[in-house]
Amino acid sequence: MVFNSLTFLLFFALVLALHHLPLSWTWKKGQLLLASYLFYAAWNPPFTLLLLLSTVTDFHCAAAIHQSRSSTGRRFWLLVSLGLNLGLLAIFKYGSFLLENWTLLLAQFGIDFTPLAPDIILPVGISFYTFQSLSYTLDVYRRQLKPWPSFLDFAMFVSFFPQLVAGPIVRAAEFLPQCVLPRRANPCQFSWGVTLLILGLVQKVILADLLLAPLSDRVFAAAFQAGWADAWIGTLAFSGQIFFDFNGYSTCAIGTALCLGFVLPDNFRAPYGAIGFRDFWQRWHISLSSWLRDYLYIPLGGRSSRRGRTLVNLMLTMLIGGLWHGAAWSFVFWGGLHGLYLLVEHLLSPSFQASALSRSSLVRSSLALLTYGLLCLTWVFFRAEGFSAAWQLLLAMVSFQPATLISAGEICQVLTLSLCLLAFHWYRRQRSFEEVFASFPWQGRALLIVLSLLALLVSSGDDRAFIYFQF
Amino acid sequence: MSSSKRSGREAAATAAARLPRQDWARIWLLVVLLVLVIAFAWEGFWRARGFVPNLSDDLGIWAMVRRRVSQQGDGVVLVGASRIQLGINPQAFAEVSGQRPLMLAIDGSSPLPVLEELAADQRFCGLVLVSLTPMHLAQPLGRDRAVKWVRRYPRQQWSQRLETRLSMAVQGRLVLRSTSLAPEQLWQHWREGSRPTMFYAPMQPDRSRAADFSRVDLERMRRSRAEREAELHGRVASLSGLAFEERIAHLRSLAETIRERGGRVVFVRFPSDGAVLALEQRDWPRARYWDPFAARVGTLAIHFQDDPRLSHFTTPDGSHLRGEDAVRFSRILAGILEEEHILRDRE
Repeated sequence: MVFNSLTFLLFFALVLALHHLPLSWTWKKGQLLLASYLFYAAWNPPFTLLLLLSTVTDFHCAAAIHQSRSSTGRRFWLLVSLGLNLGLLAIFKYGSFLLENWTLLLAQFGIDFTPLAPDIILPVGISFYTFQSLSYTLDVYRRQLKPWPSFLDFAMFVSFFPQLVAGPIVRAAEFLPQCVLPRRANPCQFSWGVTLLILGLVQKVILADLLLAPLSDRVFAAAFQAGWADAWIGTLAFSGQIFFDFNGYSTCAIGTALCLGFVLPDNFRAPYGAIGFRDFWQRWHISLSSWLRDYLYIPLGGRSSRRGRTLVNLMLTMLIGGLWHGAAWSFVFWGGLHGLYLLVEHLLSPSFQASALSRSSLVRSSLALLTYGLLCLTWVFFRAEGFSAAWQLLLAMVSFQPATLISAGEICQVLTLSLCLLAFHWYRRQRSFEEVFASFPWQGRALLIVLSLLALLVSSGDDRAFIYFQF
Repeated sequence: MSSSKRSGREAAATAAARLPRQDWARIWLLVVLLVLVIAFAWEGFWRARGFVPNLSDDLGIWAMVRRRVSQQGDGVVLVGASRIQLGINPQAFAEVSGQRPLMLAIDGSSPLPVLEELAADQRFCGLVLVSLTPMHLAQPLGRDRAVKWVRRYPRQQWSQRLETRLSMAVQGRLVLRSTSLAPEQLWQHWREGSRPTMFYAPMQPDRSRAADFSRVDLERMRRSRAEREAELHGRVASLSGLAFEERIAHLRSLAETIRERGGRVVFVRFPSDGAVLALEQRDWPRARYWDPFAARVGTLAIHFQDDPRLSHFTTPDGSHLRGEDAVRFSRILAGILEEEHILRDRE
């Protein structure tokens, strides 16, 4: 069930109605849990068992970690939790990829190994809820959190439907305390929640799917015929598409949760206004980057006194972050490119920060543009069907062959949207979206919602899945 | 600072404290008012210009009909592409045959994947009317939409079925949900300086379509149809002699499989004329393709040119019957099937 469907509209209306019945808070939490499992079952009912398995295991492992007196016992239960969660991820998400690479490796040694083709379906959102659930046991293991006494609350934390399949990846410390007292949105929260839901849908349905996706699809599907304008415009279109698609989902998730009285963390803060890659990763998919920072980069040693060690930690984190996005070497390469950019920035930034140039707005905006340009190059590897198509597109960008795939009108369309997106993100660098919205006169706010609703009402509703569902 | 505390602080910085707090009551009042007024005006505007609600064809609706085929087991099923979808009026067919056919045709697709899937369905023992064009006989199967739909429909979950029903309910009532009035279509018309027109062959809930060619610029449509056919013919490599023989043998085995369960398969060559027929004759001559196929397929194969009751039909765009002709054509075809004891035999 996706947010941009009539089924979700009906489902959410029912959930809201039940949430406002005069029942006890425990009953209401039970309803929300049931609704979340129903929401997940809409994709593939048997996969709810995986969700349940992950939930039950982590709840009990965390309790066992807390009760263990010896460090061996604590480590054992942590390994059980890690083993199960990462094992499920390895089988369902990386099984085919691992087998394929194992076969290739054996072939290098002259061993002909032909495994049966595994017919594994990726359970939607497994990367998201696995990381979310794991963060709980890791926090308990690191004594930063005590095990939560209520299984109902914990099960709701893992499966809460607004953010279950594509984030934001919420931490137990942020969510579980919200389960203690009855949550019910006040009129202001409810209004803002509905507004976010509408604006999120517009980003997905109109901006991503209607205006950008057809163009990026066309270019990336015919990478070998692309001229230089095709390659650039296709890449710009995908940069916009992936932002509107993923930010659209996160906005819908935050809005939906808020309508029920729950607060979820931001997942994006004007990422294309970033100056440098460190800044970018504090603005893009924040819940994942902070997860990787807290549970991977810092445990690896983080910012070590030895510069070499820091750089290795950074690169490893980004490579794993790349792999999290998909079981393909192109995602690893994408992560590696980001790692490389971060390394260069890490080496250059102390001298730059010390210079007067760092305070010049012209230099800062130029650096933001440079960051955006470099980002676009990384998106080529993220989106292209394999390395050869990606290289072909990159070559096309400097080939100066005429455009064959995209018309002049479409070039204008993508350039206008990209410029507006960049300008808005630059403007929003230090402002929250709420501040920007609140700065409009009330008629302007109403008009924005009216236009969004009308656009949604008349759009034909191409049923593209959210890009991040596949991760 | 611990990671949990740090992320907790980040969350607090994002949450309720930032909510825009004022003016919500009058904002929502204005929103509801404007949305209702504009939506009603938009709906009324297009209805006044002859637009009626129109369903868009997709996997969901096709899957709904496909499930009904399995439930019925012995019904009449229509398989093919747009020619049969526009060429058979289920109501008219039912008036003669007593059985309302179920439409499984997929626009622009080969009938083969659907026929193969019906042959593999042990529950199905009905009559299949397969519309075959010369191209379907001669072309290799590619990345056809039918292949995708046939593969995907068994995996449809309850939520997708519900979504189809809800979408049909909304699309069937509101003109503003028509694909021909979608923003991208209106934008295209605006760029071309043309006016949107009601789609000439709107789909009914049973997936049949009745073509009203008075809604289109027929000369332009005829020209573009012929150009499209020529382009398609250029793209599709014909099967070699051996592959063609294998195609016939395959179709024959599918027909036999269905017949063994008490069902029947009848192949029908629907009318075409003008430039489209000339192209078909040039690239896949009847004597080389249809006639050997009809002789060896082992079941009834009806060519519109062979029966004077069918051969006089004309197709305004060169390829599809108009709605009123589809009614007559359906009655005649059902009558022919009666005469051939196809319907009676099965009873």
